Amino acid sequence: MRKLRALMMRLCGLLSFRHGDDDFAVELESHVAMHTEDGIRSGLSPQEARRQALIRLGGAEQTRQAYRERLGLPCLENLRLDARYALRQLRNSPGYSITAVLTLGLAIGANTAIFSLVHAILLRQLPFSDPSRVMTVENGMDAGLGFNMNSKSVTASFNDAAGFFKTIENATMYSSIGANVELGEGSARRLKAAETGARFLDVLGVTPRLGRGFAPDEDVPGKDRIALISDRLWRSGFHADPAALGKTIRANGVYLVIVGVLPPQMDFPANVDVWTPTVFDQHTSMREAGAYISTVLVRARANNSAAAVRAELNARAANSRGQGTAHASEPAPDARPIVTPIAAELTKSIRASLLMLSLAVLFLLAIACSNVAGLALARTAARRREFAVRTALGATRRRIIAQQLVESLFVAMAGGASGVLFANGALRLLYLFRPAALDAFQRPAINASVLVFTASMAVVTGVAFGMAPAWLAGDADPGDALRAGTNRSSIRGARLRKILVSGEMGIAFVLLVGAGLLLRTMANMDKVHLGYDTKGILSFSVALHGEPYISKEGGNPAISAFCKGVLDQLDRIPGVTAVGAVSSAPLDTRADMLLPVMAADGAQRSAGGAPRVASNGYFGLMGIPVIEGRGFSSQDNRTSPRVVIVTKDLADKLWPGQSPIGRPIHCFWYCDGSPTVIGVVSPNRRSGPRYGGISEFYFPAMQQDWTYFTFLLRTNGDPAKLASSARRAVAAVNPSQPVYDLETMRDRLNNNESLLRFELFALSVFAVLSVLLVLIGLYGVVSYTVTQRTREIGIRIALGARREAVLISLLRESAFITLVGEALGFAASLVAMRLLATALFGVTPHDPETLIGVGVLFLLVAMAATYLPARRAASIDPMQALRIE
Amino acid sequence: MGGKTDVWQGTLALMTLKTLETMGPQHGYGLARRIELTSGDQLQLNYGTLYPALLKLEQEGYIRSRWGTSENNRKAKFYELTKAGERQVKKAAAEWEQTTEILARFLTPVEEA
Repeated sequence: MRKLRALMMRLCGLLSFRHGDDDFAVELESHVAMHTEDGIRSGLSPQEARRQALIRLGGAEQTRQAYRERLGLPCLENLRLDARYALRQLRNSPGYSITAVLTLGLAIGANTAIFSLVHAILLRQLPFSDPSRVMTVENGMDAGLGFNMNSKSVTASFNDAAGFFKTIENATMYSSIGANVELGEGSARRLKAAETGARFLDVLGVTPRLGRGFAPDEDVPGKDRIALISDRLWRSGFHADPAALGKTIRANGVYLVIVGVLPPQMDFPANVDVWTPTVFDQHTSMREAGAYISTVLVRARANNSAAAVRAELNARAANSRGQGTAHASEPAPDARPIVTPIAAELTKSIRASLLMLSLAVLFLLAIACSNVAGLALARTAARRREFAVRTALGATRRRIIAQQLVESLFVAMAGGASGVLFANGALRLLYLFRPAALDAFQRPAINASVLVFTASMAVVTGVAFGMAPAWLAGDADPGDALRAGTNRSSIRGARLRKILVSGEMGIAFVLLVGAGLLLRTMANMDKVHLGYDTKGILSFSVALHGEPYISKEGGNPAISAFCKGVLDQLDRIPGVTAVGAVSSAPLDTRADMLLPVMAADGAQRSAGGAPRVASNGYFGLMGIPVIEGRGFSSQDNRTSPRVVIVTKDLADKLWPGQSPIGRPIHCFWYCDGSPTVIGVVSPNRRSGPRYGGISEFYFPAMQQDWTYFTFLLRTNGDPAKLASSARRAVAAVNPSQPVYDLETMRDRLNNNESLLRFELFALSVFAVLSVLLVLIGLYGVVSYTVTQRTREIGIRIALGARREAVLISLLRESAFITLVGEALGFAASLVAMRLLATALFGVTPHDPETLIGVGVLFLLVAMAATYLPARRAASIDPMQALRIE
Repeated sequence: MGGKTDVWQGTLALMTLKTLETMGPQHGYGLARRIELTSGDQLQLNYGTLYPALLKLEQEGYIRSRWGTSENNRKAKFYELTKAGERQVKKAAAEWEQTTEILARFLTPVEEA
């Protein structure tokens, strides 16, 4: 307590320092005066009395010093002086200060930008209560977390999870789907909806901000026509009016009563606006994605990790398999229950990229640090006289090191501050190449936690690059330094700088190899033949809902009439050369379902394929070649015989070595009347260049009641310019049907590879920056060497050395530094590139061409950076060189 | 060695506080002379060390100071005990007595032998 009070007083003393000091001067003077008077009284001469008084005091100046140290805090006082001195020194060498601050600013800025992404995405606090207990379960069927693919009917143990499982408190499921939502009278809007189990909110631990959640039995048909809406929809659609509760909305043709509004931070599943315990379309063919893909979500009991839940589910799954069959076989690893914490599940698509980029920016920072350390070392060598003089005047080694570190910290803090500015720009730049995986997350801001990160990074940086120069500064030997010429510590500094540059090269080499591998991946992907065109094509989707479009026995002509109407309207747009429609176009990211297809001509073969519905003209428009038979025509309608077109691979599986034309097939749902094959098309890579195609079989749009269409139009000009015309075309047929996913096929392809593009862009920028920094570092080292050796080189030239020999010796030294760096980088690349393995395509992580290419490139630019200062050295005039000192 | 002893660490504070308790407000020089006098001139006080010690006691809140005029009309800084200081004198004195008593038990038999 008393200690604390004293500390506070001393801190105050620091502020009113001069005042306290002056006060004491008066007190001391009166002390000496009184002592002197006493001395005179005892018979001493005035001079002698004063001398005695001062002796007994132990020296006036020493006493004042002791008093001063007690008055303030000496360490802080030193810090203040060091800070002032450092600022003066930095002002005196603006070249060094600006270079160092900018270098560090770039690197810290890159780190700040990436960290703000990491903070917003990987470290995000999910808006659930106790989010670590929420997990997704895949393959839970055998373990008792079973559900029907087409509905939300679940096993008894699923509904009574708390009574059945030891580690699970509650279980639910959900599926997200696009929905045409009508809030009242008027046109529908296209939103995302989630079909959930009734316990959805209980599992997540989310409470509505208004109204109520779902009761446990409200996912039973008859009670399930209710909905929760997002805060966003509540504001945009109901003007945040509490009277929204109890209102009826219509989603995908189903009437739902709003019972609650969820809090604004609740954004799960991402971008969903309507949560309902109902299922919109139980029939597969009526669903947008063609399949009901649902996710099982559980809340673990307190203190149960994902591993504990996994262990219980595995044990139960093994048990139930054992009971079912006589010879329970061990399931394949991917058929076992998979339990993933929700935070990991939500970030799985972007996690690896962010970690890779974090590593890349740390590399960049290491390069920047050692570069600035190199500059600081040169400065230390240049300032050795200053340190020698200070040492000679009594400065301790510790004080000199501390003072140098303060200087480094100043530079680093300034770098950190400029880094925050850079980071803002860098984030903007990164978001130009934002991958689709980031769409589920808001664009991060530079917030307080990020600033704390940046500040601590700046401090660490300051100490990291300031350490070696400070140490060498403290080493200054007064006698040695005051003499002219090179000295021990500057030679050590120069050697250290070369080692630093080698290390930098190693790191930059790794970054460059990474960027090179991604570049090759991109090139490889561009070379892949997709099997369809992406140029000049605009696509958009429409989902038909509502009474006029309800599927009927024997067909509903309104559905095909809508499709035909829109196609006719699109065809009339000027500049459009072809139009078409399909149930699911290439590069559609929604899930696909494979159905068994059987040869119905007694061949007894079957194979899996995805069913599609396409208009006539679709294959021609997409550039999918019909390799046998014919494509659809307008004659393929309700009154004509049922027909089907298959992909080549499907035909080969069903009728190997034979022509499939004219042969009938069987399948579920679509194959009434056993359609006959009229054509064969080439398979295509519908999911992008990385993946092979899947088997498909196509029915003519006019023979099926399919209500989800992707319309396509082709033009010779810029397809993006036709967007508003396309909207008008749909409105002309039926203005109440919302158009969604309006984009060019090119954009879809770019989206498909957006993560790679993002990684390639970011890594390339970091790699180029790092190479620039390394070159600056190398240039600095060589220039410094030349300056140091001017005299020596002059003497050598005077003695008859050839100028080329001087040039070559310097180039050789640089080459050596570079080759050492490359060797380090090569070894590091072999390890680090494994991180990239999953992102690569058509190239191995240690692709020799990339490694050699980067190696040669590095050597060339290193030689170029050396050449300039080296030529200066070779052209030294011996007379002038010798006159320098 | 010499007849006069240097003041050892830690005891100067107690001497100062005790002197202020018995004498009342005092200026630095008076305090120093008084301590020497009380010790029967056994102690040789380095006056220079007294002032930082006084400052420390003031920072700790045991004493306070104000400017006044000395007996021969000089401007001088006077120190006096605070309430906390009075408590501290009692506490420190008791502790010190206990310490010396314990030490005495060790030292006495040796001197007798």
